[in-house]
Amino acid sequence: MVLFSEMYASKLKRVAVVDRIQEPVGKVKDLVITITEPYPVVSGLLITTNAGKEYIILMAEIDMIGQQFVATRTTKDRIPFTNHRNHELYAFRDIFDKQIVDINGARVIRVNDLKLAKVEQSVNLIAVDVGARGLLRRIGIEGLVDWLLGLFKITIPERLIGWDHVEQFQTGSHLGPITIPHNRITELHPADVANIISQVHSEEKTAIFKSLSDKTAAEALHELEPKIQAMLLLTIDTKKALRIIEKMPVDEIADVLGDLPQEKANELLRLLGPRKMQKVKELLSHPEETAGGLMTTEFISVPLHFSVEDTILKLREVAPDAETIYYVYVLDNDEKLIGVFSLRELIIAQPQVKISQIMTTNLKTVDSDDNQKEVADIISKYNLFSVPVVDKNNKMLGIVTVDDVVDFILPPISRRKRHILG
Amino acid sequence: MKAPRAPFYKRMWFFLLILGPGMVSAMAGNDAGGTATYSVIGANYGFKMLWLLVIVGIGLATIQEMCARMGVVTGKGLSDLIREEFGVRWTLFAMIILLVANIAVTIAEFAGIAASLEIFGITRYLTIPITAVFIWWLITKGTYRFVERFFIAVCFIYFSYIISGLMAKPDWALVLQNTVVPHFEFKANFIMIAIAMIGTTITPWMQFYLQSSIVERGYKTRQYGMERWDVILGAVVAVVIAYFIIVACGATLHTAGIQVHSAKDAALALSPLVGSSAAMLFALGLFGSSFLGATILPLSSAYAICEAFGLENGISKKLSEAPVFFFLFTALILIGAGVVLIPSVSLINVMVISQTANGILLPFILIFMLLLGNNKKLMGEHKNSAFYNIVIWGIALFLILLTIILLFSSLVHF
Repeated sequence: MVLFSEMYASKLKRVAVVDRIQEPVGKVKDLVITITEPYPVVSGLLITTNAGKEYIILMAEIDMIGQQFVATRTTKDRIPFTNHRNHELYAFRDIFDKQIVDINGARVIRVNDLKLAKVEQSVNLIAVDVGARGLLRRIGIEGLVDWLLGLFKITIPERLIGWDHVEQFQTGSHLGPITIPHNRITELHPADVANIISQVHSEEKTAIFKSLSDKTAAEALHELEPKIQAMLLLTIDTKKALRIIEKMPVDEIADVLGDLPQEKANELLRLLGPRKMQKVKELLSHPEETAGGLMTTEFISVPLHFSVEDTILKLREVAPDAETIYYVYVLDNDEKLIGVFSLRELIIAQPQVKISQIMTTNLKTVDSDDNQKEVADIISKYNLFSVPVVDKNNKMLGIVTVDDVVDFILPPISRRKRHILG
Repeated sequence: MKAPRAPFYKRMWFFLLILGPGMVSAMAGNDAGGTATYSVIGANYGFKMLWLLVIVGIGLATIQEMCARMGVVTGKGLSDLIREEFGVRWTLFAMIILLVANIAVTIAEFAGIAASLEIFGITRYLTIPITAVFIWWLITKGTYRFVERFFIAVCFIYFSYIISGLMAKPDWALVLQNTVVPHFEFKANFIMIAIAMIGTTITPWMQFYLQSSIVERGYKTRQYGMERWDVILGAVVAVVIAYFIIVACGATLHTAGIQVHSAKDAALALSPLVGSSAAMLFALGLFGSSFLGATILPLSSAYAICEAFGLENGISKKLSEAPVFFFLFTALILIGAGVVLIPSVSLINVMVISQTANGILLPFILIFMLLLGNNKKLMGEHKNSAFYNIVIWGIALFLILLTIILLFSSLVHF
């Protein structure tokens, strides 16, 4: 039935449609796509008749598809036309030239062409052309450029991405409700998700963000630029926003809320409950660029009289909530910092041993007013996972973990200012 | 973690309003080409072309507003929209137009840098290579944002034209008369400078730049009211400054019969305000705006083109990841600087003729924008009203008409 094994969709644009006896019917205007897994199928052709009317011919009625012409099964007067419907997904209208996500590369690209292949009795959309070759083909100078570059023995490589490795967006131009779930994006690492969100248009930002699980959303949110964070939290409903925020460590909550309009921030704070609200408020009181502004108040501390066994029991109890458990801090009754020991030291010690015997008292600490750069320097100089933050009286306030300062050394891609230009 | 923000926003609000995307692009619009064109108009024709500036001003406000509205409603930049709605071939056409226009403006910006520093007596053969390298370094380091605000601040020097124009005591009756009564000459020079006036006030690159800035800020449709005022205010400020440049030049240069052959001549228009320091003040303003333009234009062109074709772009990318992007802005800087280094090139002529080129190319971009702005599917209830269509089609058709007359006149020499 179908003439080709593989061809590019762009080659079908404006190809003549004829009936069984070669009588002209019209020209191909678009391809109707039906989303199926793993590859969508071309379920029909939208044609413009010579009288200027638009109809859909279903694939079952088509005998041959080729680059020269498309032939129907029956004669012209017996073709069962289907009316053109707006809510169908069309290849040229809805997929060509639009943005898609390359899942493996975790980046946003533009569709230059689509590759069709015959699979058994149907025509499937198997790959997206995102390379220069697709552009040249669309302009109509693929052959010419090939010939010219051929003189210099240069070939332009094909750049195809399998349809099973891309994710299409639900673009705003659809009139009908075509829902394309963002399944594949949600399976990516939160940092990659953040990278994609930072590259797409605002409507799609919200759409992707909404489709994430609360946990992934929480992690992705932290990777984004403050402006985008605020935009996302303001566009989703308060309940979902709250669920996402609850999944975040308090220092990140403070980060995010600091960029929201005051009203919205206060509303979310109230809903978070008194305990977390107190902590977040405390963090917000420190200037952003200081150790106090960077720290989290969620750390693990034990009193001096604890044994190793007591400590392990306590760890089991509190660890699920703590941001990091690699260091356990020893505080006296006034919450002053006396010593520290690592998880490693704890585990290799005998259960009955008092922690005073395993702890180190020679501590590296930072002051809550210290500049973030100094904090980063100390963490990197002494190869620490985290550094305790203390006030003037050596009272322990919180910890700054290495992931809070790594951004000062290596800014993550998604947070880098993308650009504001053309 | 931040100190609670609301008071901060409240403090910043005024500043944000002043320096929104509309205002920034308007300030960047009074660049080397603009200053030179308005100065030459004032010197050669006195106040006679002020009527056209009023029309251009209405056009600027309307076009910028449409552009901003498209950015807010669709959440997409102009080159994105052209690609998505018109396909690859039309995108190629639009991008070639944009590239040619932007090359012309970049050359004008480098001419502005050369001219401003020549006032201080430094030869362009020294200043141009140094600034070109410096600009390339700023862009690749991604630090240009820090200097951007500084140079925008320098552009405020242009406000001194308003005071200078007032102090020059022009014949206000004549100024007003020329503001409302059209004057036209069927001469190649007049038509060329008329096209330049439109092309320098409403530039193709500014539409791409403005719409992207709007998208980048993530305005929602319901917040659009504020942004609309930023854009309209920006247009008004840009035109008021242009108006006073012409008035100041008309009152000083035209009455004294001085033609603008170099930046020094143009600077005389500021002498009613600052006397003998006019040259210094003028040079500083011209340098600031030209430098800003010479930084924004290569970068803006590279972004627009790469986004339209789906090519990798961004300053944070490596050369091997985004070769076309790097090639484009580097090439623009090299061409801009290179042309200015050709001996015996008149800097003022370069600045003005490049604006004529912009004006000739502008209608093509305007037609793309009009088709997008009237697209019901994209814009819904926010599509253009009849007033917008009349004004913008009017400007586009007027430019096409002027271009045809110019072509005709250069053939027949009337």
